[in-house]
Amino acid sequence: MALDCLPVAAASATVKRALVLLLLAGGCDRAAPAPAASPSATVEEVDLPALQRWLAARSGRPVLVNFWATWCQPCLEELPDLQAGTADFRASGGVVVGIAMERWVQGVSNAQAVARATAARDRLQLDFPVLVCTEDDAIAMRQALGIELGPLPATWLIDQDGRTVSLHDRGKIDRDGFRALAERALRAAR
Amino acid sequence: MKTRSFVAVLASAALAFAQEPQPVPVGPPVVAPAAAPQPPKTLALGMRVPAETVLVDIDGKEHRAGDCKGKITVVNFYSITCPIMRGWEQRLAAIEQQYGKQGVVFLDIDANSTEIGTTPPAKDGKDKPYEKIRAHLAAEKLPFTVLADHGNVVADFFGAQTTPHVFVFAADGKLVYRGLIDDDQHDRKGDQAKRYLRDTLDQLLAGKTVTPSETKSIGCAIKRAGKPKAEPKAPELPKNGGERD
Repeated sequence: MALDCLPVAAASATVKRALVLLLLAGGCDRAAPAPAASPSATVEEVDLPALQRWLAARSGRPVLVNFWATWCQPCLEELPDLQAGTADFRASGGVVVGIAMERWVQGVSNAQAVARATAARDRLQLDFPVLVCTEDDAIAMRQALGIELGPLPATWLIDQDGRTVSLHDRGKIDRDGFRALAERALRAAR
Repeated sequence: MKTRSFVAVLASAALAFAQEPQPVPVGPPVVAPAAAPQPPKTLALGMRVPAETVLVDIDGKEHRAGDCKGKITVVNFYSITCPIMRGWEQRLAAIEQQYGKQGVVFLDIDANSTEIGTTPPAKDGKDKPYEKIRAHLAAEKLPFTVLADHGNVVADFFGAQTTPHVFVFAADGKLVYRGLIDDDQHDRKGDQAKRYLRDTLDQLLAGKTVTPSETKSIGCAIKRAGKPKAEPKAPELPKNGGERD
């Protein structure tokens, strides 16, 4: 392991040994590499038709759709709970997807939107797919998806028959809340 | 004027609702034994805000709902940090400039605990509250009168969900429209845009019936204070669900 974060060239062997020990103990202030994202945690840029196709490709399975954005603090706070609370749901064949609405903010490019969503995925270590919707008009999105989006965060169910049902759009919810939503979605799918 | 707490004001003013002319009731007639009138929990179309309802603006001035008597009044739930609100605020300012000259009153309520704090500032003059709001209004040259809704009591009573979320009251005090300012989030639809707020004001000023009376607002969730631990209150999933477009 290189000691390039410390001026070790002039250090004595004893000092070097101490520095190595310090490094092993985490004493060097180099940022640890971010853990690799889960293979299932893809970040994909989608326009509205692509988003519709993505959802249609999962027909036959209940899909929990969480609308979020990096500018929405309650959204960021609830994402880890969404992940934890839907583990059983996903293991039972349910699909969870986060749709990042970065472009609702005026002036945000597609590239910026993807970069922001990717950074959030990495920081939060999400293990479910994230779609970055390039549609910047919330009302156009409502009309295309048949989903009456209001405040973020919002969680909707698209059931196995493609029907959309609002599950929650009254602020962030916790792990147990998501678990309850996921169980309800599974019950409806049976 | 002595300021009362909003909880007390709304609770007592709920009685005022019962005494005021009410809109045509909707639903089956109630034949149950007479009981004490239940205070309305949220504002509905056709209802008035109790005249005693008081909010204090960021400069310390009190605003009573009763002060708006006889005037068309627009109330918007506002945020200085919500990027969606920012997309609309210059257009809202233009509407205020135009219709304010025709006597329409505009009030913006900030109910975000993250922006106004959870409790009102002390009145000892030591604090300089709402500095960020004041600075934002100055920087963006916005004419808004911003009222602080600590504890989001008024936001809860209105059923306000987002920023922005507008509520329009006719001169007789009744709520006639709530929802979007327009359907043109990024101000690029031109003549194709549906200008809900402008249309509502034009209809009111022309003495016409307001239509539509409701649209679904969109924006940032209001950051409510002291919210109890959330429990999912999602409706039971209907057997036939909703239909995709």
